[in-house]
Amino acid sequence: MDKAITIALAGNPNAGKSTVFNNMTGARQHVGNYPGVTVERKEGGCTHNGFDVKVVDLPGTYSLTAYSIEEVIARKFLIEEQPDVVVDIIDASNLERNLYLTVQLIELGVPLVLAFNMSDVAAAQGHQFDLEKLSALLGVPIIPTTGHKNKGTAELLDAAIEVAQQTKGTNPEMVRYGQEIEQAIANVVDKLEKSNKLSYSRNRWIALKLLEGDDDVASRHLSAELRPVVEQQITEVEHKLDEALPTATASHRYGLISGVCTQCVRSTIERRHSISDAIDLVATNRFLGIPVFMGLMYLVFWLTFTVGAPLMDLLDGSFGWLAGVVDGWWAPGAESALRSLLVDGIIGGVGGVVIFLPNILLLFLAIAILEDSGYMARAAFIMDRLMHKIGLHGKSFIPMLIGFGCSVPAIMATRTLDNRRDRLVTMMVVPLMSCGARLPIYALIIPAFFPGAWHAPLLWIIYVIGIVLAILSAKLLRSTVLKGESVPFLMELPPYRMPTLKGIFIHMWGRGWLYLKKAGTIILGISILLWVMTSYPKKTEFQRDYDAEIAALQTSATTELQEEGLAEIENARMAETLSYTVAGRIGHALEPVIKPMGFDWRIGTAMIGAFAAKEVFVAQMGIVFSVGEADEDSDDLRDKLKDNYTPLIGFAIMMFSLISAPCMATIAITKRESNSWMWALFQLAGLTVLAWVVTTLIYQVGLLFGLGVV
Amino acid sequence: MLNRQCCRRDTVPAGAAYPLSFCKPGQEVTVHSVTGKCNARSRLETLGFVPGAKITVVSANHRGPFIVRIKDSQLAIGRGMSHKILVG
Ligand SMILES: Nc1nc2c(ncn2[C@@H]2O[C@H](COP(=O)(O)OP(=O)(O)O)[C@@H](O)[C@H]2O)c(=O)[nH]1
Ligand SMILES: [Mg+2]
Repeated sequence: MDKAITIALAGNPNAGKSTVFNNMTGARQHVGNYPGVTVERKEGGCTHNGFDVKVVDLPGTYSLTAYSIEEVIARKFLIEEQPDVVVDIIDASNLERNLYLTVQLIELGVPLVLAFNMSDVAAAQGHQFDLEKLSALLGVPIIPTTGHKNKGTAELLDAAIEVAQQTKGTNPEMVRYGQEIEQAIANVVDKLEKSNKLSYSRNRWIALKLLEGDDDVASRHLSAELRPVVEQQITEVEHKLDEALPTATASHRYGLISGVCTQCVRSTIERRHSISDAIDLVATNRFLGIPVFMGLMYLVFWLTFTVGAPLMDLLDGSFGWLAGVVDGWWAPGAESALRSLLVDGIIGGVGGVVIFLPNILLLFLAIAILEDSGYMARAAFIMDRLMHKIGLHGKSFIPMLIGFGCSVPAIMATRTLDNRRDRLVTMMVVPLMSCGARLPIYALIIPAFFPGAWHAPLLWIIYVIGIVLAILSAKLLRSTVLKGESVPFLMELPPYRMPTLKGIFIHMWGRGWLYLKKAGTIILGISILLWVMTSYPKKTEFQRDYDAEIAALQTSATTELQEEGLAEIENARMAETLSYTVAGRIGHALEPVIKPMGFDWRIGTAMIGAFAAKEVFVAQMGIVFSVGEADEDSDDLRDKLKDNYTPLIGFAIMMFSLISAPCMATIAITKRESNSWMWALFQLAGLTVLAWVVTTLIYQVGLLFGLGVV
Repeated sequence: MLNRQCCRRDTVPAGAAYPLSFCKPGQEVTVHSVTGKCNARSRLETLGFVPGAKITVVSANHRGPFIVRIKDSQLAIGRGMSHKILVG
């Protein structure tokens, strides 16, 4: 019989939490979100000494106040879900700061074990620790570990299991806050004990938090009768101390820690310049910082899109092959709805998304390396000044850059942003960075309408318009729906470290798998829907008698003429069929709305297709213009476009494609990452409306200047 | 809201203290107090910016964020925040 215990991992960011988590759980883990919020939740498990161990990785925090979502989540988990034991991962090379969280965990009274991680780094820096003494002073067991070498994991699990089975709590009075504050705590605890049945240690903690002005605790425990008591205590204490209460408590905690450290730590060498400092001399340099950053970003792009391309072709080929095989199950030319559904709908639709997997894996590989090595913090630091101007955080820059490749991984990359508002704004504007899938549209349209000398500048203008709109939208969102104080820039620059292969692969695969699984299921559904919309209802009565025309052609003309004529007839039939389907009808119905932008029903139908994936637009235009199989190099289609539309409409199409409704994969991922349909639909509607307004404006102003007549 | 109370004491008699933003790279200073909104202040306090703590200015680009060393870690601090940290 296995007994089950739950271990929660707490710790400062960069203390090696993920590494220890991976050591404990191996591949048995999954990534999810905490309900209602977007902070990643990782859970995994293992068996150890006959125990079924569940490990939950809490968000990395420096403290347990209520000022950041991570802290609130970590605290809520500790209090509400009551894990059997908490393992606090400590970066031994940065002991004092890390012990601040430890002290708060001790005060919270959770069963605690300390993992003394990065002991190798600390030793190299010349620190010597008296762990026995430290353990005795803090009243918790301490296990030295070296995360990246997977040392100490078994001992850590042993200790955790042992503590989990005991009922002995930590010492809630670890920190004594001096007479004034202690008296205030005692007064509040007195009142609390009369109204609830919680333990002394928990009540002491609640009292302390109430005195510190903690909103979250206040909303749970501050009754109407308690409020005046607490307020009076705060006023009195602050008056006596001539210092804000939270400042005083923080000072006391750091005071205690500093005392403990002088007893237990001996530093043999003076701090000298490390390799990390040397790298930073370049990486955060005022002049070199930006070029280095740009160079690295270029490398990331190169890796993602150049190395990814052959793999993508390979997958594309495999799906093509699969489609061929499935197609072969039916006799050639046979009409079968099932075949069409399988080949065009499912394999085509899902395949179109899955082929991006290599890019996504490579991109996350690059991001994982940048993150785990510690460079990401520097990148945010360098970009902060620029991003600050548009109301975003330095870290928002990376997702926006990735957006030029594909919005899906870009939106996933917003996970590196800690602040929910920053994250949402970034997610909303990322689709304005013109992604790779929109390139085929430009590649079709630009040569169709514009002379050669204009090609490059036009393309450049389109990208720039996207960027400008992103900046303006971000500013707008930041000052309306997502208003709020921008989080002041305050970030740790962790020392550079060699990332481990295992850590990086777990990182990369976890996110890649998520992409496959979640986006995959939604996309499968929408693909089927779109297929139905472009296939039904089936037209049976045609305006022209195509069969008769074909028969006539076959008897009369030469082979050459026959082939050409046949293709024309087949395509005309296709266009008529499409016009009759739901998608075609929607196209017609949309006409009044899209008319101001210069679009007709045919463009409308293609736009619906573009919602599945932007590049579908080109194929769909091919269908409506009866040129059959079309790609961006199709001159036939270009001629048709030129005959039917003006360059102004061509430009309008590109504008609309740039701004409008991001593809369904983007919507799906936005829903997933924001954990709300509301934001996904807001993005969809907001960008579509923006696209309509901008395109209409361009088209109408263009008409005014007589541009549309030519 | 209780929250407001933690911000009440915004102004600290500064004496000889001056903002961190005046410091030059390489300078070693001691934290006198942290002013400003409680959210930002609490985050700074958590990271060790309590009265008496020693900090070293590592780099100070004009207009960009500051880099300082406190305890054993390097922190990047936005300009705005660096005005609010009084040092002596
Ligand atoms: N030298 C050393 N590096 C470590 C140790 N544990 C983890 N690391 C490295 O520290 C970096 C950050 O670790 P990570 O687990 O991502 O930190 P987290 O932010 O707490 O999840 C990674 O590059 C790890 O390989 C250790 O004990 N010693
Ligand atoms: Mg981590």
